[in-house]
Amino acid sequence: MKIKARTIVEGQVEGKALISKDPISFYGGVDPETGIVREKGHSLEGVSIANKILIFPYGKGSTVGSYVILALAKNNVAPKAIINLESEPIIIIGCILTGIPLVDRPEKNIFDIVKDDDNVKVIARKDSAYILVSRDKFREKL
Amino acid sequence: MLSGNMGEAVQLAARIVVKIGDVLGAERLVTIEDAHISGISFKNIGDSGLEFLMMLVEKNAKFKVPTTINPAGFDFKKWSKMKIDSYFLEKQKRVIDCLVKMGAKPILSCTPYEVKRIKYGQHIAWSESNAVLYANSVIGARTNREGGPLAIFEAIIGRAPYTGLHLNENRLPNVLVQISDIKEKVSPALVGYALGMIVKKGVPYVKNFYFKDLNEVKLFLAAVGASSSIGLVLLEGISPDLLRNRRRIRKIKLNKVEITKDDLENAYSKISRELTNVDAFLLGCPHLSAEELEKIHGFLRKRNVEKRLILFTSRQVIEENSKIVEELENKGVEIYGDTCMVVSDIRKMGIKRLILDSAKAAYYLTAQGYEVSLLDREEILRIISGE
Repeated sequence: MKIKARTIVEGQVEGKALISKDPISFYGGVDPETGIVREKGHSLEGVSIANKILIFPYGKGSTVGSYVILALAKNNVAPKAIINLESEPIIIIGCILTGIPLVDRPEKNIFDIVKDDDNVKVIARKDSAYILVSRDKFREKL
Repeated sequence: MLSGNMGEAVQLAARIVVKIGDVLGAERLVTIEDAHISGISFKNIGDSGLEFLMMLVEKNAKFKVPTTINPAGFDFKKWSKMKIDSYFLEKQKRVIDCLVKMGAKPILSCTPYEVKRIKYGQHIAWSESNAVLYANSVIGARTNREGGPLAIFEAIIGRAPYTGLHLNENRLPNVLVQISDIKEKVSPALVGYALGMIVKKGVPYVKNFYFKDLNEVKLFLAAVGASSSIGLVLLEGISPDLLRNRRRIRKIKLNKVEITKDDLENAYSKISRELTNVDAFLLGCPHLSAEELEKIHGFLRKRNVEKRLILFTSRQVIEENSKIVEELENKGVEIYGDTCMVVSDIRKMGIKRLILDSAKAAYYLTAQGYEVSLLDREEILRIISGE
């Protein structure tokens, strides 16, 4: 399955999907040391976002969240890539500062298509972005 | 700027501001004349924030426009009285050193509109919600509600995305707010909080609510900022944009929203509870102006101060009103500058249960686990003086 999207921060990376239907507040919501979601009642509470292809609708909460993304990267517990429905400045700044590939506006309903632990490849080029999804290994040639 | 010929910091800042502009649908950037940055207290930004600022200093980042900064985690002259440990002290100093190296003026206040002169129509990039609301709604300057990091990058390149409240067409009202006829006097802070809860976003037009003075407007707007993402409230008789756009506004059919007694009670229940015994009474969110300090002094001058009263204001107000500060302190009032009740750690000062007049602080302190009760300033001063 191939889904078109919009590139915000360029890059190409492959990993396991982690899905949050709730928006994420990085400041106060994610532990910068471990990458574990700490927000009470959040659908990912207790789950680590480290090295995942993290998919969530949009960022929320304090704009200090950008600094937390920076700290996650420094501690090697940042997501490999982020896919949003609609990115906003907190996430965009965090991803530009760290070089984490970021895409948004997927053209299909990504929450229906991708499940946790699916293999996902994000290809974010200057003018185009694609999200490749596979339950097995990738057979498609890039 | 994007090519890197003006240095790595400018290149990074330009890349970020342009990208945010693209995503927000801005056609171009607009030159800004001023910046104000939030996210200063080490309690809030922690090591992640400090490292970010150190990275910018290393890249030789400099602010292109006059830039001021929000309150820090403690009073720099009375930090030991606030029970600040040397670790926090050192980290906070480094945060401010970084910003000063980039050219910021460390006013350490959330009321830059009382410290520097901002004019009607000026494009600015501010990132403290109460200051943004005041600049837009009372002065008629133009700024979006920037986040702390974005305002830093905008200050470095002296430009912001030309979108949102920078554009005149987005400064027109899209909802008319009426405060229903309520007999008893209601707190402007509570009305602001309820308005934010109900309207949530956009540009509300408030017609029939009477403010005694600009200090009440300040408390009202700060509360709107805490409970919504609103950046401009059009206030009858106050907001310059209402005059400028009068003809256009007359032609707009506005949806009406009414704030009722039930709405106010609902808002009150979110941020306030009845408390009998409290540790202290706190005023100064947003920071008290010189005029507010004078009024408090005037009320207490011939009265005793029988309860613990703590005031927060800017260093500038403290220095320019040293006689009043001294007289209040002689009566037992505690006055702190450089910091505020929200971004310092008032637990260390023995405060867990408190009474205040700011709905904004009530919201943030309730979220931090404090027991909070909201009262009008006049009432608080009467209780303090044993009346």
